[in-house]
Amino acid sequence: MWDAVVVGGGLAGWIAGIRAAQRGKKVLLVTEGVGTLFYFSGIFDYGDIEGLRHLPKHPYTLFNSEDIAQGQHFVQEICPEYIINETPQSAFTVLGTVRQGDLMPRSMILPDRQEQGRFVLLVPEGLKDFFPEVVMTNMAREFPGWQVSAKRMRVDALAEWVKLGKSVSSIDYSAIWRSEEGQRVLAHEIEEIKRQYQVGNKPQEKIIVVLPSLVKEYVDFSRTKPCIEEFSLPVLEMSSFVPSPHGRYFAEYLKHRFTDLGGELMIGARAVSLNQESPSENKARTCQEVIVNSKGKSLCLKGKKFILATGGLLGGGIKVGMARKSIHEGVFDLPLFVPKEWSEPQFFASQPFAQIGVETDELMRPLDPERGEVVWDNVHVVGRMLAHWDPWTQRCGGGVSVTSGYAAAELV
Amino acid sequence: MREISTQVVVIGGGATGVGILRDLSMRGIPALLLEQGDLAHGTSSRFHGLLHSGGRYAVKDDKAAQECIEENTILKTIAAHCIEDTYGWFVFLKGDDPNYLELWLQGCDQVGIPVREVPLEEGFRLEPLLTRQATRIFEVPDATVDGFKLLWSNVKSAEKYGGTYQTYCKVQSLWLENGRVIGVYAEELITGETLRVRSEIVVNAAGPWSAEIAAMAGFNVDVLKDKGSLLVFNQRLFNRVINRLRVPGDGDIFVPHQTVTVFGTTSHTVELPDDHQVDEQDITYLIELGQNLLEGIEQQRIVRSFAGIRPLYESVEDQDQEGRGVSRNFVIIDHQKMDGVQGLVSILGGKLTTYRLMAEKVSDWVAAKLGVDTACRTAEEPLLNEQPAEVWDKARQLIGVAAANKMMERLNEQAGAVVEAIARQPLLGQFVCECEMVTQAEVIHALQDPAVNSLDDLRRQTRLGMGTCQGAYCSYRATPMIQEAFGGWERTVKEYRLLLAERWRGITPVLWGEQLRESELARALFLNVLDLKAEESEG
Repeated sequence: MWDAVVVGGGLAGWIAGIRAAQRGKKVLLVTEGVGTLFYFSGIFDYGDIEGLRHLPKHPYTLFNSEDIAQGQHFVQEICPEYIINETPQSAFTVLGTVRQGDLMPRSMILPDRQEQGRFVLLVPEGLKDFFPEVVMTNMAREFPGWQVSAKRMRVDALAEWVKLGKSVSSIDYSAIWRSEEGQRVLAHEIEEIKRQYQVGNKPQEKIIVVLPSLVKEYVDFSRTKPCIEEFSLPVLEMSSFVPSPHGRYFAEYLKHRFTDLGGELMIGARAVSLNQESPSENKARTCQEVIVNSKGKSLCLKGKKFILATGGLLGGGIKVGMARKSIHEGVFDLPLFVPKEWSEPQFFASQPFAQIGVETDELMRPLDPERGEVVWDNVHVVGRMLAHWDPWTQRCGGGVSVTSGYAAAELV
Repeated sequence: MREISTQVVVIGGGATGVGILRDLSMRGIPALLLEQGDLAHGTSSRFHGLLHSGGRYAVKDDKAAQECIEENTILKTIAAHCIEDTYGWFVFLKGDDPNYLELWLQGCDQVGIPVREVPLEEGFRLEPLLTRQATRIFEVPDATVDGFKLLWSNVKSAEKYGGTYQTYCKVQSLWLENGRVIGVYAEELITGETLRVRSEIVVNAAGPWSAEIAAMAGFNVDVLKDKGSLLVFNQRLFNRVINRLRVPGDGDIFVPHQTVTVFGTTSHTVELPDDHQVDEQDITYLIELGQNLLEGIEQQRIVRSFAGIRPLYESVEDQDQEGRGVSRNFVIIDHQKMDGVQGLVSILGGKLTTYRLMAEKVSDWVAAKLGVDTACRTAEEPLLNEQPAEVWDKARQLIGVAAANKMMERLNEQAGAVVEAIARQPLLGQFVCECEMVTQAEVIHALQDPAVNSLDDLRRQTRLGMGTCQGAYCSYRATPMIQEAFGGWERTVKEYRLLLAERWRGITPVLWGEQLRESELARALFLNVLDLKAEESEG
């Protein structure tokens, strides 16, 4: 019997699991994979919190500002490179345009546009889905006072591969950057940049090296020791494209945090149904165990509390059948809020279908939308499974997931 | 105002129009084709892609059936690279009308469509998803045809013989003088400039827009605009064309194409020639009908839907008919005989399968008017010239067999330059579109064509954006190429938006299952990862 069984290993699930474990609870996290963290830019968006709280039933209405701040601080606590600031910070997208974000790693935060200096974009040979010319023109437009140049580089281990015309994914490059050899190659390249631009130039020119894929974040010092602490020039990282190195290493980092705190983990397992206490008429039901399919077997996992973090439409927690004749939540078969209008004619608009999800009470317990009663007493719904929001147009994906995951852990 | 002159103006860049352009050019008659959008943006790309054997018309329309089987045989020779010779089955189900079956067999026999009965056991082995309600299966020489490829091949062949064409050039009026059409006025939509073309003959091959063109001279031609909706599934559900053996109706044809299957159709009369919106009702209706041939169709993933307008010619005897009752024959209207005005001819009705024949008949008419007695050669001369083995070998070495085959078929004579580019710079062999295996080098090449004015044009040339991602990844991957070709970040963003908006129109009617998930991913990519600005919703 666990104090909490968390179903789903995306952002909200990990936050819930780590926080509950940190509170000394016995926690099991069951997940099929790393969820939508594979699309993580590296940045948490919180959006216009006060504005969104005025939208009827938006997940932010379930929380007060203290809950939201607590979640933010928790991210910073477990991952100190994330910086909390009064005003939103800015970072480069993979195309070199500037995007805002509320919580991002120190190494992504852009310098002041009023300053002057030089960006040197380090371009690893054959990097897939990366367009240096486009990036450079965008950077130059966004930072009119800055010089922008590029330095191409190669890594010996990949030279043969690239010569054959094969590209290298940013996940592969980030694995190299995190190796000792990779660190040395980078240090060497950066040293060369320094020589090239500082010798003979105005010595006071500020030079920032811009790197397209992940180097510095989520290093787990209990496991890895970086061989080079600091490069000879400041290094600025761009946010990730997909498949995301940030998502990959962040997921791994969270996994370590979780298991280091004593959390138990079951990966590659799909929760499919549940067993309940015999229902009584007037009381919300209590879930006793979830049934999980793993390696061809069914397992029953008993818990006092269950946290549902299966990621909505994109994460796979909500399935919509042909012609929308069947729409259901896959584990508890929870009642869902389903919007009447389904889509907008413009692709980039806020889409009604994005609002699909589970309506809850203030404790994030699922409600029957018709009767407004709590369906399960000991189930809490978090992250993208919640109804009435659109992370992409409201830009609050990280905010809702972190806040709800943290708050659910407090209820365990 | 720009003014040019030629001998013949062809209005309409669909299969018929480009077929006419090629035919006239091969006869040495100078011709200019004007198209209001991109080539093949209308019916010629909005159909199921079935190269008819004639089987579908064997009972009711023996003339159409006869033309189909003859043209089917010709096209398999001259346009082999655009055709996958899958063969087609007519499947007779438990409870279907046995009298129709008899009539059908007789009809096929009469018009000369070869029919082979397939033993049921063999049938179920070859097409495991086929309904077990099937009691008899007949094989006919149906095939699948790539409408885009067929069009480009015709245009390229026409160009070799001196034919010219201009896209995004919309005819505004016919130039009439003394009871004679002596040319057209057109607007070049990209520059806004007016173009006046003087010609001896104007051919109206505008498909669903034919009535609009004829009306410019004050004439009435009866074109019934019949909308058919279709679904695209994400894989090959069948390896052959599957027809239901009954009176042709809705939802009874599955056509495999490359890695997808197209299923249709419906039939509704509409008012507008570009009414391409698919109704959700039609989709549920189609899925229901699809159950008859493919049980468990509900479990299959639909990538998108689309609709096309059949420009059917309503002859006098057809006038009480609608949609499926109207003949699939074509007709040539000489407006001198009909309306007393010289220099204008309209070609109406017909099918893609018979486009070449239609082009031949119109070109015969034009040639006779102009006193040219060169015979038609389009039935003999292949559209594609065999490329040297060295180019094939090199392409296969550089990008792999499957990708090389696709590229060679798309590019034909121009493949050599693209292969060279990849050989010089191997990273240009990276795929922009992984579904259709389109390389960066091919995209760069396609963008050099002055007729490619947008990412959406590029899609029609290369098929980029037509696979399961529906443009989410490949439009991003085309970024450096489109920025280079069209210039500027704002333009690039606009191109993303236009392409995704165009794809979205076909996705929204089938927005469920894995495609819905894919759409959420696309939104995450563009609105979050790439940080494009959201649009206000209309509602």
